[in-house]
Amino acid sequence: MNRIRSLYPTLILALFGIVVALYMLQLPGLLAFHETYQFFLFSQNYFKESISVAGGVSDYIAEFIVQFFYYPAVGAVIVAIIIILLTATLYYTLKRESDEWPFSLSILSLSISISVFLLAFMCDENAMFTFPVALTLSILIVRPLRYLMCGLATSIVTIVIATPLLYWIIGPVSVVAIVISIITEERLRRRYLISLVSLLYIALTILVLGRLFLEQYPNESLFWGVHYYRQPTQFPTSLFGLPLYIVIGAIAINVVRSIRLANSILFTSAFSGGVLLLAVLSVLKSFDGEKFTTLQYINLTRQGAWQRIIENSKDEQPDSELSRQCVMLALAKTGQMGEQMFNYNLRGVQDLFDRFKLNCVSATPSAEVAYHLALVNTCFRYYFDSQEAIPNGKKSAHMTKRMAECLIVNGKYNAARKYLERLKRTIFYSDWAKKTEIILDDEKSINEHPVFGEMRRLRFKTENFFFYDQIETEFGLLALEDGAGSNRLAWDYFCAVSLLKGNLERFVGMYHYASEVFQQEYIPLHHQEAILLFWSFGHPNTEGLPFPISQAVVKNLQNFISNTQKNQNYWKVADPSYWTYYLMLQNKKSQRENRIPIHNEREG
Amino acid sequence: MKYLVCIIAFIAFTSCVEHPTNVVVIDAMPVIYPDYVGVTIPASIAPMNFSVEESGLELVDVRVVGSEGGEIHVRGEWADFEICEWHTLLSQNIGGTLTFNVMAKVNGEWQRYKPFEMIVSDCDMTDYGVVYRRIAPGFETFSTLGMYQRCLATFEESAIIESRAVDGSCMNCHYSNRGNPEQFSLHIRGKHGCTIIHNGDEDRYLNTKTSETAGACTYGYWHPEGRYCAYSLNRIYQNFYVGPDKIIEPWDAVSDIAILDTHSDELIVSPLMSTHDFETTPAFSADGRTLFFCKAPYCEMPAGYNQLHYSLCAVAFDEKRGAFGDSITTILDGDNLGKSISLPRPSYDGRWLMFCMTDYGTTPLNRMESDLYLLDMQTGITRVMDEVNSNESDAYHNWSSDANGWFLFGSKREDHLYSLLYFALVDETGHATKPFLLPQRNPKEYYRENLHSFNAPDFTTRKVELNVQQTRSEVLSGRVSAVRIKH
Repeated sequence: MNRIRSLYPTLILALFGIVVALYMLQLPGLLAFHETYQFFLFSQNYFKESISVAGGVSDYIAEFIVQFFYYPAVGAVIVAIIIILLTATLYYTLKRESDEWPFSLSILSLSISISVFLLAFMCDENAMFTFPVALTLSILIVRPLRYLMCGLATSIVTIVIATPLLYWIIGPVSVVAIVISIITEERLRRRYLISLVSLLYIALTILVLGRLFLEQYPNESLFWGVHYYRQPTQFPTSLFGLPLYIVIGAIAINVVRSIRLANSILFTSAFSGGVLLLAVLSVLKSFDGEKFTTLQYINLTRQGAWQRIIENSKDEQPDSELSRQCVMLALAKTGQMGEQMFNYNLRGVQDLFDRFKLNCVSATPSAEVAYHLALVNTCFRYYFDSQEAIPNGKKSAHMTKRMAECLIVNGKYNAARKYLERLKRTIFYSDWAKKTEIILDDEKSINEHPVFGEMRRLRFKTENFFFYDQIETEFGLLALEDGAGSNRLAWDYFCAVSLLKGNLERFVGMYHYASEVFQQEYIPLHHQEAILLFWSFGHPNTEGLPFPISQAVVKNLQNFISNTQKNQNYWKVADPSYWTYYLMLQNKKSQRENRIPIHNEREG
Repeated sequence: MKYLVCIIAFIAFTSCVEHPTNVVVIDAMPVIYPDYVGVTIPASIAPMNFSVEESGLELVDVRVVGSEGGEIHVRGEWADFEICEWHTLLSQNIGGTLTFNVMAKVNGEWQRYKPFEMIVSDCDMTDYGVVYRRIAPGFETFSTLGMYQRCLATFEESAIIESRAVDGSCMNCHYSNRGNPEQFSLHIRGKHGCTIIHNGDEDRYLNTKTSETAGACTYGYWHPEGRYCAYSLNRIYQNFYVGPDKIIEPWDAVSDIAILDTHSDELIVSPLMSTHDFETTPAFSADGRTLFFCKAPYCEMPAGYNQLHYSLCAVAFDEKRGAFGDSITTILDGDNLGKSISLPRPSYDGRWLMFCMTDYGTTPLNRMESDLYLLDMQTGITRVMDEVNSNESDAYHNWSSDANGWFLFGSKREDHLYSLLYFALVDETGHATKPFLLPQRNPKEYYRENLHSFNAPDFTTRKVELNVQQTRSEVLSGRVSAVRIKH
């Protein structure tokens, strides 16, 4: 029995580790997101730059680790290891040798609950991995600090020296290391008083260091951390709450340890159940399934995993615009766009391609669309701005790679070389960069390259084309510019935009010409639906229709019209088709038109 | 015993220093980065460190010999001169030349190149350094940007203010009055938008947007007496190209010129400068009596983007009355030239006027064909500065406060994307020396890793001092004074 009791922390920690790993495996999009929005460089300057800011060492370590999230499965295991390390260190830090079963189980539960709260915080994609790393470092440093705090004098010296040092290495979370060291050190008298005085000293140290070396940072950043959250002007409560919870937990353990009841099964069950339940509830509250699905769609798009995207979308309709953009690209890349697109609950052109918005995420699916369509400048611009929109000022290796590709296609080899130089100093992009660098300046190799050569063939050939905000025209001209039907994807996108805009006249008009250019024998289902619908506006039957429309489609439209005549809202319940989308669009338009006079009247 | 240890240590040390043997003589000058071969430098410039561009390079050995005396010898991965030694050598050789004898160890073999020279100009450059906005050359957003200053005698760079200090707000160019750090203006954009007027110990925070004017103050230039600052008021948009050589076309929907009276916070407007046409990039003449600017006839934008030819114009300015003159003189007609002129910058002695010329439009930094031109104000002759121009954009030039011909400019010649800082000297005939890139401790590594453009650079006579915390608190407080319009 004693043997089992001595082993149970290890077993529980191992089990917890497996649960964490399995949980993180469900969030590959989130892990890939972290990898996408950083650029760890093996360079002296990068290291110097990192450690020139308070908390830079923990950030440097975290970034080093996060680059392995390139493979999300590896990332899941790494997160689990860090979480277990934190939990185990916390447990062995808070537990005294005299603590016995079942009280020690309460300490273990508290330690696990801290890690679970941390996992809840990490559901936020802007929660940087630096925070768990900094917390873990802080807890790891407690034992060495305690070793030095054998008396009041040595404690004061330790605190005076360690505070600025740890603040600079770990960041403000280092306060946990100092305070926990004091309040868990048995040999120290008046621990809570010393803790309070230390807190004042820590605050003073932060202010002095901040004014001396971090003049450009606002005070909030100095206290809440520069590297813990991607949005530098936002400070979620967890940044303060988690360290506070650890300190309160440590004090609580100290206090209840002396109470006899604490060593009872009843207390342990109630305490453990309570803290773990709260922690799990916080994860459930923070878990945003739609967001994680979107991130995973973006991740799969980046990988070009078209079939997986389509399979995932069949399981569950994509909820967000970004997800739908990814699904549409996957359909286009697999030649199914004209057949399938209206099976998804599309709401407009924004489900296909979007203009840049001032954040680092929302343009990335569209940037991938531009990349595959060979809209080279658009791809470059979207990625450049997306990278610049990363709120904490970090760069992105993935985006840099795409930008380098665009520069190569545009023949800007010196700029491309600059980006390749950076990529060469990474783990996962280095091989590609080295191989690509060899062919720079070699026009023949680039023209024959499967990616660059293809993009050059598909891209706009005319230098001075100038567009304002006309995606439809842009796609149409790109598709038809060379008159040879090379850029089939651009044609698919032109058709999709026209259909989504309800611009049937233009769509059918172009179709006459383009079907010859693209030597199109079969007309995809949604295109047939659109052509037939447009034809039906001016013709009582299909006689004279210049396109081969299947009889099934003709019959379906007749049924659709007949049902709509009976029930004006039939489109809401009908099987998805272009007609259901078209009526939804018309309905939206008429609602908008109806709203305008009311608005004007009010203004008047 | 003590001496013995010293002798042993000395022998051990000297035995580690490799003496080149079997040196192969190369009948060519070394290819170095940056290309400093034959450049003219001011005596106050920081060490002109460089790398030798050779694959398989192991070591570089450089011996610099001054024509008037002095010598420096360095050896390492790149030529990295010690700052004090360098300045001693330069001060000894003002008006003379420095000869660089370069040897490189390549794949285990030493090779000696033909020596090259740098000329140490006897024209002083007494400015402390340069001020610039460091920003990634993006399109619709930016990450971390800031106003920085760099000491020209050393490699020290420091932030004047970064966007992170003002909640990530965008900030535009810093305009000082002839490099005077006591008098400058700086725009903050976005939610906390304002124009900061720094005048001695006083900072004023102004809202320059009014219902009567085209937009907020944008491109600025101080009157030499320091009371007035001319601004263009622009409403800027941008469109994008699809071809390989151009990517962005910023354009003004509206563009006028006004003058801010910093004593009364009044914006002096004139019907002459607030027309339907596009007036932009003002600059006062050296005596302050004339305001140079660029003007293009109105055309429908953006449809007429490639017909937009700005002319170089001038209008009188009466400092006592704070009023524009009655008529505009066209100095160079953009339509006649079939080109577009921008960023006129008169030298502070009134002798020259440097400007950019592009095929069309108003943003030379985004135009590959942008070149620097020099107008001789005595003869009225304009010449293209081929000796400094490149195939990429050359723009954003400014003169040294010494008014003896030193100037700086931004150029994207390295890679088409990032604008870097170059310096050159215009002589009495209006010809410039070969431009040199802003020196860095390890230039190859620095510029390879640099992901910023050095935007809107200018000289500064002394270090700029700005109380960042106070600026932050004032900007974020939103306590800005509205400017009044004076017709």
